[in-house]
Amino acid sequence: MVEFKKVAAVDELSPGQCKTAIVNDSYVAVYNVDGTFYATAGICPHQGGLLGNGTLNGCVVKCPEHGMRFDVTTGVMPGGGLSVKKFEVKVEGSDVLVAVE
Amino acid sequence: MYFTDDSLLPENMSPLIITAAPYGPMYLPNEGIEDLPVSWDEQVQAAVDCSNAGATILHIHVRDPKTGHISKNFKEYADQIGRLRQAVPKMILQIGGSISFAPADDNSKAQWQGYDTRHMLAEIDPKPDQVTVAIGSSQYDLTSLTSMDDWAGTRFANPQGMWAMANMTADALPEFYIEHLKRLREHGIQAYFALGHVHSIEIVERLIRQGLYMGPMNGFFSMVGGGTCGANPFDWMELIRRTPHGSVFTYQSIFRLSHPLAAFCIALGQHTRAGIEDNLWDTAKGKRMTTVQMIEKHVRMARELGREIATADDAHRILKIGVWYNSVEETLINLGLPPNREGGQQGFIGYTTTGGKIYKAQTAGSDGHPLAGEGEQEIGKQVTV
Repeated sequence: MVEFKKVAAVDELSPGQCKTAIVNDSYVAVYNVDGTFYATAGICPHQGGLLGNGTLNGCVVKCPEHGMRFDVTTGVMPGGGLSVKKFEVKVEGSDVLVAVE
Repeated sequence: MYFTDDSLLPENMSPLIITAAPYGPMYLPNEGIEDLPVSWDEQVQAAVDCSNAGATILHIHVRDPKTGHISKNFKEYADQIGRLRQAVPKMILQIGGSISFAPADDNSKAQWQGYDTRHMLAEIDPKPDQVTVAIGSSQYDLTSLTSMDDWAGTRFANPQGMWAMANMTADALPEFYIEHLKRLREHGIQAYFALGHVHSIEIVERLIRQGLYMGPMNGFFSMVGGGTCGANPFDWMELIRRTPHGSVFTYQSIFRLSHPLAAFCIALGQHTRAGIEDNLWDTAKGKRMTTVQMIEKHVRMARELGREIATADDAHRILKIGVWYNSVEETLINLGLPPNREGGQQGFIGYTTTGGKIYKAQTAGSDGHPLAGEGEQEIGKQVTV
């Protein structure tokens, strides 16, 4: 069953910022790309780095550990390669919510 | 490092320090690696087994047994260091420093930005002996020196996985490492420099000359190709040549290249690293090897050449665990590096003695060669030579 869980306050992340949230004991990475929020699985498929602790350049996040990059709007690496799961996101009032199972 | 006529004789070499890297952080429990430690007990037992096989440094990544992934939980790291300290009290505990930690709970705000999550490594209690510190950002293409066969059985053994790994980078800018070195010193943890090529050791020397790092220079060269040093032994030799006389370095490659590199290091008085973090294979293509088997192979190679294996006490002494320096000059002289140039000095400058006193020579470098300047610690005037 899918339910929406709060992962951040809207004013917590400025455009260009991201964070790691914990939802149901799993890590979720939340991104603000030019005012639009996105979310992906929080673990890098290389070595488990936390993508939400990485750096966001436009719509591409770079893992803080060994630099693997993902387009946060699709969950896929630029130019192909590995991917991370993308979650549906909605904003309700001042809350950023992510759909998780 | 400078080699004299007797440097390669086994009785003159410092005992071999073998770093065990048994935790294979890139791999997951379902990838068929038989000695991948997953449970807390297995992770502790791996340390014990590596110690018994002859390793004296333990390179640590902590795995969360619940998820199978490398843990990003600060408390789990601290708890595991505690367990390891109890199980292998004399081993040098070295945490792989690329980790950035997760928030403590699901109510945490987004203060976990930038390098703060990496700097947290300095605050782990009980503390490790060493934390690896990458110096200088590099391309980190793990596919350059490898083929898909090398990754057989893992989730990377496909074109997508290989392409993903080809495009990696190791992030280590001054904004990170200057502050990180400062925090490690404040917490009494030795930095273990993680370097990729000759340019990165030049940066370390500059940090020392600028007074931004004052302590022993120990570390490893991660020579995995694609942005770091590769598999050309002339480059390996050049790295040895460029490491300061009083430094202690380990050299690490990837997959089966690890074996000739280990033989090279053992023969030349350098130090080795063994484990499934770097390699899954024996010398023969397609034949698996465990971490303990790799350590045992290094021990056999060293014995064949008459080189001793370091005890834990040897390793603490050689690596100067717990030793810090308090000036640029003290650091330089302990590393066998020439002093900083003072204004107006010309030519290649060195040290002289004061009052006719001669420095006592002591064993210091990885090659066991005597290093002037350690014994009496009287720092002489600088002279042009």
